[in-house]
Amino acid sequence: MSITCIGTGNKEVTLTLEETFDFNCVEKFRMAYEEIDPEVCHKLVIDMRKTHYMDSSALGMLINMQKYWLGRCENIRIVNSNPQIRKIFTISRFDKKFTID
Amino acid sequence: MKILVVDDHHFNRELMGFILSDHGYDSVEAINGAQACEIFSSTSDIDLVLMDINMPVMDGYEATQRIKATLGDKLVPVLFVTALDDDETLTKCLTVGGDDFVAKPVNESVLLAKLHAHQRTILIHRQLEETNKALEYHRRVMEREHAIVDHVFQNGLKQIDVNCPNLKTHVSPMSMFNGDLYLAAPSPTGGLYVLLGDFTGHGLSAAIGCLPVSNIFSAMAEKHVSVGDMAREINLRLQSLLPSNMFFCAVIIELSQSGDRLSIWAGGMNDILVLDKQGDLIDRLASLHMPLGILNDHEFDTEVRVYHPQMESRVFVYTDGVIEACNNDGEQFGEPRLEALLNTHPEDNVEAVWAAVEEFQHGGVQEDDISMVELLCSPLSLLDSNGKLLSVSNANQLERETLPWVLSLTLSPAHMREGVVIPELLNVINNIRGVGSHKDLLYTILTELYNNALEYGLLKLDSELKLEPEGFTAYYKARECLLRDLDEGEIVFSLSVVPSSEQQPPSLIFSFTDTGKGFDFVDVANAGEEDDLSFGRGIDMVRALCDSLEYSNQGRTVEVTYLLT
Repeated sequence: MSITCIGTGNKEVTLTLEETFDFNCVEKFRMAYEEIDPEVCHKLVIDMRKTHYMDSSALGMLINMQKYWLGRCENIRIVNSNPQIRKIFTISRFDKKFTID
Repeated sequence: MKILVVDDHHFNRELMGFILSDHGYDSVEAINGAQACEIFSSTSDIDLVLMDINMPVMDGYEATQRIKATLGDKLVPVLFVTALDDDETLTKCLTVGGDDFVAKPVNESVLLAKLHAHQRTILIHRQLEETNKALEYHRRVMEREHAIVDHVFQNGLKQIDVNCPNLKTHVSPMSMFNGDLYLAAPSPTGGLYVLLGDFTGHGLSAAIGCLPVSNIFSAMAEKHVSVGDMAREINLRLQSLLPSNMFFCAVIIELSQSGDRLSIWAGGMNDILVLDKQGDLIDRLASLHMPLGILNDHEFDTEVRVYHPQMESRVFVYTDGVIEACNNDGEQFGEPRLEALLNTHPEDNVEAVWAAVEEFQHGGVQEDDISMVELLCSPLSLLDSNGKLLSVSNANQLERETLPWVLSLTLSPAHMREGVVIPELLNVINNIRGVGSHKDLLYTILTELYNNALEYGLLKLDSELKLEPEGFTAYYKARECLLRDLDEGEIVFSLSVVPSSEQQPPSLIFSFTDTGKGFDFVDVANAGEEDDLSFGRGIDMVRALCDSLEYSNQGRTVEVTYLLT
């Protein structure tokens, strides 16, 4: 299990999460986003295509990530979240803090 | 070789008979045309006829005409034996169907030479006949096999039922089997996957690779993998399947549900053309990769180009057949013509291009498979063939009644340390009819409630720890330590399934009870009111996902009801 990070051109960096995004990922996720060089990253994309399971600590991790990147990159997008995950984002009003599609 | 000798003079027949038998030919005799016809129709193995012209009852002309009329494709030469040598007679001999003449009186060596010559012709004719028969046989076998293969293709390439107003396509194979492949499938998040590709060559040999590609495509679309990983999987399969001189040029696109994000993997295809809202050509996206089926897996590059199109712009993808279509002078349709045509803003690009290509070919032969796809970048609504909106939850509708399960589980600290409680519980619950599409949310709910029971109930952790990013880590470190040392207490889980009634759909009632000191649930529930906090959302979230949530027993027991709708 790993979080993969690849540059997708246009100074956009994509972090792809695994099937389960919960408190077991705290360290791994934090390391993944702190290792990205802000010089090459103006847009950060969190790809949740593989993610099915998420708990509230995942929301906390995303908030922490946003705090860390605030002022360093223009835009953080969460993409490819499935309808269930999107429901969780909507309920927790994350759609107001992140661009989610 | 058997020869029919027709002559009304006994002497002539006898002479001819001697010559023929001397040289190993069989012969039968007829005294006039009428008898000749009779013998010919009752004897099937006559190879050649020697025919006199003037005879009583029926002359040689008429007899020849009748005999030839019965032959069909078979060749039985008729040689007229005649003393006449005027042009008119000789011409008539040939027009009634005769093949040659022998002058009367018969010269033995000339007769034999002519017989040899016609024997050669007969032999060639028979060989040709046999070859034709064999060809006809093989043609039938091929037709039958094509019909079977066609059937397999029809079933194997079964398109996922996507009816999407954002998609326009044209596919015209050059022969019965298409070496171009167009596929589309909905993604689990309401987006759309599209594949357009072109195998080397055309016809059956090119089409054969379509089956595995289409299977991989639909399976991977369902799993929601990235287009790069999809390309890699297809490459791996084709690489092991295709001969080295065959490969598959392809574009694989995923359009997000919002319509403003395209992920593209393109190998060996023509530039993808991007047209803005007005229809002007504003961008060309070149293929970054080699065609599929060439590179080894470890050399393969899954890099995906992410493109953010303007709303209502369009993406035009086409195969070689479009620009390589030739006119009568051997000139190709070419990219400049295609781009010029698109820049005239036709109402329907796909239709207009196809019409232009057809006109350009001017009724000539299509030399390659021709396919095009145009994708409109705007929010997607995918419909099935009945015009109903396609969505993941639709597919998982309840078919039969849910059974009234009751499930209970008591966990000791040792069980909790194993860390697999929720996944295992979820596996069991997933087998309950109707749960399928709710699995993801149930995971969230169960994890939340279980972790609350464990962390606040038994381990007495303080969520204030999570205020800083470092605290977040510290919190989970503390959780690990406390759990390791935990030697008493338990968490009791119970689930009852309530089958549907007239008033409501089936529901699941869960409860978690821990043996801790309890906690002030009002306090915990309110902690997430500040929007920026990285913790305290759990209970609110569960409350929103469930039909009801209640604490009792001083916060030691929580019970929720979840509707399976």
